[in-house]
Amino acid sequence: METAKKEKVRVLLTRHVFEGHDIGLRTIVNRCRESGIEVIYYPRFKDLNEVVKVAEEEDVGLIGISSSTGAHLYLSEVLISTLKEKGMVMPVIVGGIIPDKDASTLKGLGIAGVFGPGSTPDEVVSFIFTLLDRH
Amino acid sequence: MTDEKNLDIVRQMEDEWQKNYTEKYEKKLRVKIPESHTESGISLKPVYTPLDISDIDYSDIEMPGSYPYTRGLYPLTYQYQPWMTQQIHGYARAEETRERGEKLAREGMKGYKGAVLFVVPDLASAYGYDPDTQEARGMVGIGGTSVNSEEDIRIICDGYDLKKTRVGFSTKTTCLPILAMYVAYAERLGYEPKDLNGQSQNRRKISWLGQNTRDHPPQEQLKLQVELIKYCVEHMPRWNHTNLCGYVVGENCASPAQEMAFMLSEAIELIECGIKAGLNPDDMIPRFSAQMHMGMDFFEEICKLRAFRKMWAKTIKERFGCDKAASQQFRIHVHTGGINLTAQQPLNNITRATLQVLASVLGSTQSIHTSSYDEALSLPSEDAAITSLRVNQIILNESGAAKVCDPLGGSYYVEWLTDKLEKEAWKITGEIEKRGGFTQCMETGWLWNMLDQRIRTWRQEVDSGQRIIVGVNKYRQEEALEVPEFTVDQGVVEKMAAQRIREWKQSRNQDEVKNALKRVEAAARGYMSVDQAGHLMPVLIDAARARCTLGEMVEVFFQVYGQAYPC
Repeated sequence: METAKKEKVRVLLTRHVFEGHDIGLRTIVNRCRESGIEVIYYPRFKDLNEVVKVAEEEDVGLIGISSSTGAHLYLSEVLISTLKEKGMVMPVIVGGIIPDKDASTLKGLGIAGVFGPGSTPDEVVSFIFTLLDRH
Repeated sequence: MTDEKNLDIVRQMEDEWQKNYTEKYEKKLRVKIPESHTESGISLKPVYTPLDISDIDYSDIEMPGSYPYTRGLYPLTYQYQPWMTQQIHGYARAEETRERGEKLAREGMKGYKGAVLFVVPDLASAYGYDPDTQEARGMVGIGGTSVNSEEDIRIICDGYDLKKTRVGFSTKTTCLPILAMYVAYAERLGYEPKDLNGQSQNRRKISWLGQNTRDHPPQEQLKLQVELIKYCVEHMPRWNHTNLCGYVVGENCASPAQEMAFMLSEAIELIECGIKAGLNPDDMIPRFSAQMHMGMDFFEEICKLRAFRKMWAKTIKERFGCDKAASQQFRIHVHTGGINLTAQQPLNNITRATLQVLASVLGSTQSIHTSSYDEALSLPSEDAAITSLRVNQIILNESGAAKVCDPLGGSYYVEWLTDKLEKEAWKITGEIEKRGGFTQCMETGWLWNMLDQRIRTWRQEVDSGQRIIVGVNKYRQEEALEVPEFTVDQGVVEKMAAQRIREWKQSRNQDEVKNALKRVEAAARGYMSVDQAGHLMPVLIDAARARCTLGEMVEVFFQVYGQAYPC
């Protein structure tokens, strides 16, 4: 039963087109795929409408955004409000260089999970499984 | 390097050592010492002797200041002048960036003769978007500073003697327009391009490959690199036109040998194109320099700098027939590894930086940027940036490492490894050439795949514990030490920066702007192959004189040359 559920897990992982760091994101993409998660890897977006559109078209269960240059608050805020405008209920996780003090702000905005440089790829994977099993 | 009779004695000593070794570890303790190897995959023995370097001719090492410059570029290294501490910096707006630069200068950041202003543009400026555009929303003032007009440059540079100050903007896609704006700014103050001292990064292909970011297709990027070289060689003889960027390669987990091969392969191609563009190699080559990566494999990193100088000198002499010393002498700026910094136990990063700066000094670098201990958490705070300078100052003033040229020269291990690493790097350089050269290997994805494989392997090694990173997969601490995390009030900065660029745009003669941009477009369209280089930079400088913004100029390039991504 659990395996059947896992096969259905489908996520969108992406980053902003100006973000010059993508090793972390690619690592998460690889690890998710190795763990049986279906990943729509969208290597760059220009604005968050684009992210929401892809999420909708690809029918994913979760959006993950990577930011290592300080854009995490802005990106999260706009993404959450864009999802709301569209009436879409979709968990969002954020990873990258996220200062500790911003983690609670992000959760307050409605971000489901925050993964800083101290997180391991496996933590992200198990978080996704737990979260999407619950949904 | 040693005569036969002495080698016989060494052989006997080695045999004796081998016996001791076997006796103690294998027979008595019954342990098998695991094999070790360098980052570049070179297998190591537990000890090195004169036998290991007996086939190396001292002419391949030579004295400091003599070809092939293994031991340093000049007869003296730091005894005459210390290495430059060139910290790239930038956040928020030009004002804040200037303030940080001044602070660092007061704390000892300096070039050889004067101030250094090495500025990182913010995310929006880095990709050529002005802060008043929709695309720049949320991206202004972070990752660097908002620099989009001559006015921003003025605020950063105002009052500095531009003949003595080393100025550089850490740019990729925007490299040509930012140089044009700087030249236009300097001209207004009465300087001529030939007076200016500093550098362009001109490393867009490496950034495109290693950071997966917006630029033109590789062949178009190559043309623009050559255009910049041609302009600088003909008009800005003191300007370092190209900063071969091993740093970004290293940040993608490349081994030292791979980094060396990337740098050399790109340089060979650029020099060949520069020759096609009508440049005399001895005019062009001395103004190549580098930003090399400094990783954690202490001895291999030292050998990397020694071996790369040698490879450069040989390539320039043997392949391009240049005998001018300045062409053969490859000047190195080191940027200590960002990838080696950990968010966990951040103060450990000071130790990492110390080892990396020491390795750079033992490798006889000309210049160092030292990453700050908080960079896995945020942009550097002022305190962290000053601590980075202190690392350099302690090594220079307290450790004694700078008293002697190439202090590890002659070490059996270091000479053996320098030689091995050089051979390894030649092998990869040859492979790139066989596959059509650097740009071709970018287009086919061969280089990208090489790095991707390294990134995957690195992760596996960290996860399995085969590669130990203190604080990450060993000696972890649950209680984290809090260090102040530096942040920028992004929304406020964005509003102010957008307002400034709007005012700047209103202050111009709009017809002049339109016409100037049209001429840029025509020149860009007319630039079909590298042999036609030399007509684009002058009209770009005209556009800067007409007060065109960075975003406006970059936009023309994207219209003409299109857009591409590595994957």
